[in-house]
Amino acid sequence: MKSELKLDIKSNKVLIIINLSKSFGNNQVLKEFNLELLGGESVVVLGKSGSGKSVLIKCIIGLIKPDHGSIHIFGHNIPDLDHDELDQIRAKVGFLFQSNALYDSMTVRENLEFPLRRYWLEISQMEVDKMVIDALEDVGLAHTLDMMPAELSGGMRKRVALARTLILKPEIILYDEPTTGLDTITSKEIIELMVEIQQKYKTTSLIISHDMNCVRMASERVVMLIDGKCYASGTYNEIIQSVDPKVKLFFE
Amino acid sequence: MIFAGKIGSSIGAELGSMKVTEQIDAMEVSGTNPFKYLVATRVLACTLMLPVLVMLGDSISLYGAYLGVNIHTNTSFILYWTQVFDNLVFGDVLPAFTKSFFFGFAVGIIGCYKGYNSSKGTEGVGRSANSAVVVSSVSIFVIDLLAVQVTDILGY
Repeated sequence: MKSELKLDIKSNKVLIIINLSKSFGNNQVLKEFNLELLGGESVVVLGKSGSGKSVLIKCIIGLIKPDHGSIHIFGHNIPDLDHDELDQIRAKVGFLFQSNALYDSMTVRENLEFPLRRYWLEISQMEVDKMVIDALEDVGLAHTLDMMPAELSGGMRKRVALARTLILKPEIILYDEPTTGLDTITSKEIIELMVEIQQKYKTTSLIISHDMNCVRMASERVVMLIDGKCYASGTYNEIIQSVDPKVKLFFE
Repeated sequence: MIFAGKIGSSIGAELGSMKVTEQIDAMEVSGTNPFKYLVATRVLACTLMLPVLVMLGDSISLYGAYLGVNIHTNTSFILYWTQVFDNLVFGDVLPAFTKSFFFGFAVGIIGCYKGYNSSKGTEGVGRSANSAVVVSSVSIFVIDLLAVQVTDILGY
């Protein structure tokens, strides 16, 4: 792969974002945003609606091309990669969509099998079945195997989407507003599941959210995305004690 | 035109719905090329299957004509078909059959384009489906117009 960045292996940085900028017309959403993510870390990017959180996460996975800046995942600069190289990186990076993005014309089993298609010739159907069952058991929904997404509740769909993300055993999981549209109890269950999965598989998590419960329960570090920049960063306790008026607004 | 209305709107709405619910993005993230998986397959299916439908339609209409003829006169089935094939010439069948490939391709590609570029939520999905039908229908008129000119030049 081209554009390899010589990384200090000891630093254990799996994701490095440098001076990331993205505009839509005259609206500059991200302005020289910087972020570093260590392996095994769980970071929540907190910002109000429309602050560019989803744009940031879509730039990281290569769905949106940034105007400027670099995004290095495992040493490879995402904007410089071609389609095949990007696919190799995406196999190691899971993405949980805000809307779940389950294929509504497929059953739960087929939804989970879909990401395995590119490995279809290398693994047997028995192995595929086992991987599907294991992923569903991780999220406590093994009984939904042959159900359609439309037959599931909002929380169940989120769990199935998480199982689909987990099936390729990603090293980094990107969560785009994982608790949006869920009630408080279901939100709490999803956050607990996210934490459990992070501890079980030692994954690195980048969570985009404006849900304070999610920030409090799932974050080891909080990054405040304000005015398109990384405005403040620290642990949850450090951030809530901040005297900066823009930061305090989130906790009032 | 029926094909444009039924299939064009169906493709436009289906892909539009997949676009606004991020299913196409999910496909891309899963390492599947959504263009190959969703667009190429639908365009190919439309291009290949519309001529089959045209042949089926032509066969049904000829059989319907036999029933119509039989109401007034007592014509035998064999006599009717012998006369039909005696009077049919190459130029009656080939241009109509050939242009149906182009109609199918146009309906498929326009439906996919409109659905793939859908935005603004469910309202956008409706607009994509509607637009797919309108543009497909107009494109059928334009292709037919060109086909008539080409057929005329070739002397069919």
